[in-house]
Amino acid sequence: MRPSPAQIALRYVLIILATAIVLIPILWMISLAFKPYNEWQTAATGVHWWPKNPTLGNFEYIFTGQTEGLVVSLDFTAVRPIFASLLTASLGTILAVIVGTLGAYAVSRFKVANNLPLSVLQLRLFPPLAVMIPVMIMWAYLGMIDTWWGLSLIYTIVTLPFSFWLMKTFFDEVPLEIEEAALVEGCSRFRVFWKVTLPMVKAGIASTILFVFILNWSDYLMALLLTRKDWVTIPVYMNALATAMSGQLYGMKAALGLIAAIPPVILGLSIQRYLVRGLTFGALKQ
Amino acid sequence: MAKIEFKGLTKRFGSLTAVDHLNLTIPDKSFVALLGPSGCGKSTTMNMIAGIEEPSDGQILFDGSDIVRVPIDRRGVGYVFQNYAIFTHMSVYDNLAFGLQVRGLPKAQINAKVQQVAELMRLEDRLDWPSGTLSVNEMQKLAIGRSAIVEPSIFLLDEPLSNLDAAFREFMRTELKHIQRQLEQTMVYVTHDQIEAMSLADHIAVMNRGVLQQYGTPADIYSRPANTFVAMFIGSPSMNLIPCQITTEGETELLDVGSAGRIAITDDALRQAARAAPSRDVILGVRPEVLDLVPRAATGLGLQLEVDLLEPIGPRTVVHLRSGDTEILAVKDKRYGTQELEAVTAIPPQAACRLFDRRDGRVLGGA
Repeated sequence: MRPSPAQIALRYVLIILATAIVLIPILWMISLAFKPYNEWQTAATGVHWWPKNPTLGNFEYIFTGQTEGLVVSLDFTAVRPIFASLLTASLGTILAVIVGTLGAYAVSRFKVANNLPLSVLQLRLFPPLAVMIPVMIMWAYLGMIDTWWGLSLIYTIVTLPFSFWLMKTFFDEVPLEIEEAALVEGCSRFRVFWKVTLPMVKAGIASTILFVFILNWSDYLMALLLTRKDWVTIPVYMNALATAMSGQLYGMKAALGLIAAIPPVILGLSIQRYLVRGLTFGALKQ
Repeated sequence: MAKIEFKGLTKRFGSLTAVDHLNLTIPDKSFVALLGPSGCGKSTTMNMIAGIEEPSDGQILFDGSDIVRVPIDRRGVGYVFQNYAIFTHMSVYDNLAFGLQVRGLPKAQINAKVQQVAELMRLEDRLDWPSGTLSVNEMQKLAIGRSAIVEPSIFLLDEPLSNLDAAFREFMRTELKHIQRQLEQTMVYVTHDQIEAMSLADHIAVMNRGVLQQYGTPADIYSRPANTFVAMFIGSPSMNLIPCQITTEGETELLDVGSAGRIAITDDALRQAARAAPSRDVILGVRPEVLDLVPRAATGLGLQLEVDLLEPIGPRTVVHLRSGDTEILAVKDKRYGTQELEAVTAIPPQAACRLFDRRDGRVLGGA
């Protein structure tokens, strides 16, 4: 049935509304990031959508520690946290995806470790908060507090269930016959995995990487509890962006937020072609 | 090059026995069809030859040596899967070259071989296509080509024609036969289509519920089925299986088919079969094609029946005959001039008849 004009209009209104709900906070952040100090101090000028005097001062401040118009200088710039975030989130993602992929393949293809999928999931049955205090104590004993490897390791552990389960569903979709055909041709098990199965789940790996990276990238709790100074990450650092004199530095936070949005976007764009490509579409005729 | 033998081959999945003590010898360079309804164990047997499934019991011998312990990638068999199992992330060329690359052949040699097989399979203008974009027919050819390229001495095909459209299936049927002659391989072919099996294979192994029912040439299986299952499964329309009772009148044995009358046994082989029957209850098997129909005569040689229905199927007419509960089919040529409701006598040529034990369906009087 063809929708009536009223229905079409209603649809558009709803679409616009839904889009606005998603986009307005992002727009607000972008606008805020380019506003000078006196413009995001709402008490001074009132709320307005676009910066009247756009400035890069906020970015300057978080990267160099000072900017015109702000008396208090920052002794701890955002450079180090950005690096810490990039390193720990990437390392945690790479490890979680490698381990998860290998584990998922084993469980998907061999009749081994039948309980493994569920026990891996068990890692996620508790909210991270419930286990983080014991983890913090363990990490302290092991000397892993405020280290890049301590944080990367907890990221790996916490996101492993996701990468494992995601990859398992992707492997489950690759028909057994595909591998059997390769085996019959004289291919070794490992080569089948490397040359046939893995390329067939490329799209799955890409989306798993993106998903896990975003989880790690946006973590606040674990970084808060397991770092002190050297390896503080962007979210923790952002929270601390305040001074006694000026209060919360919203403009700087927005600037940092904008920067923090870049890596996931770049990652997303660079693997986009895998995300949209069909998986094993057409491999089998049933 | 490769003779395949099964000795007591058994495969159990939990409580289900998929293949039950299979004993069979597939001669070198022969074309053998494993024929049976779905779930009869034919695909499981294939998987055991290829090494995808491990037998629960028994042996598989290639040229006399047991290969059950040989891993799947060392058996050197070619396997064309029912769903083709094309590597869709690769081009057509890479699919064809796959087995050769695994074997580490030099590039030039691979190239030449791929060209040659592509020409044989008529895929030469598709080589750089992504294989996922091929049509079903082309995928089928690619699957056969990919397995054939390494020239395995044993070539397994699992229902390779079942997804194809009718015209192309006919074409591939002849093509397969050519390929087999050309490559001189031992070919094992799984199918549930008896026509495919009859037309392609040198020998047919009919299976049902994991048990081998009969193994023989197509002609043998067609005319001398070993039991009622084979008789029913082979041929279209299938063999008439007429329940009857053995009676004796003086020196003569007769087959009593209830209201359709009685047939005096005149053929020696049939008489022997009747005498071998452990009980009086038997089944008379007779192919619809051999049945003679004559205007109703009062002899004790045929069955008194009425023409129930005429079914013209192109060059032939299927005549449905009936008397009480007894239903019999006869196949006559197109111009067969009879009318529905006409009373006829159907005379089974006794040399072409088979008698089966009604309890277990086995043929009586030896093969």
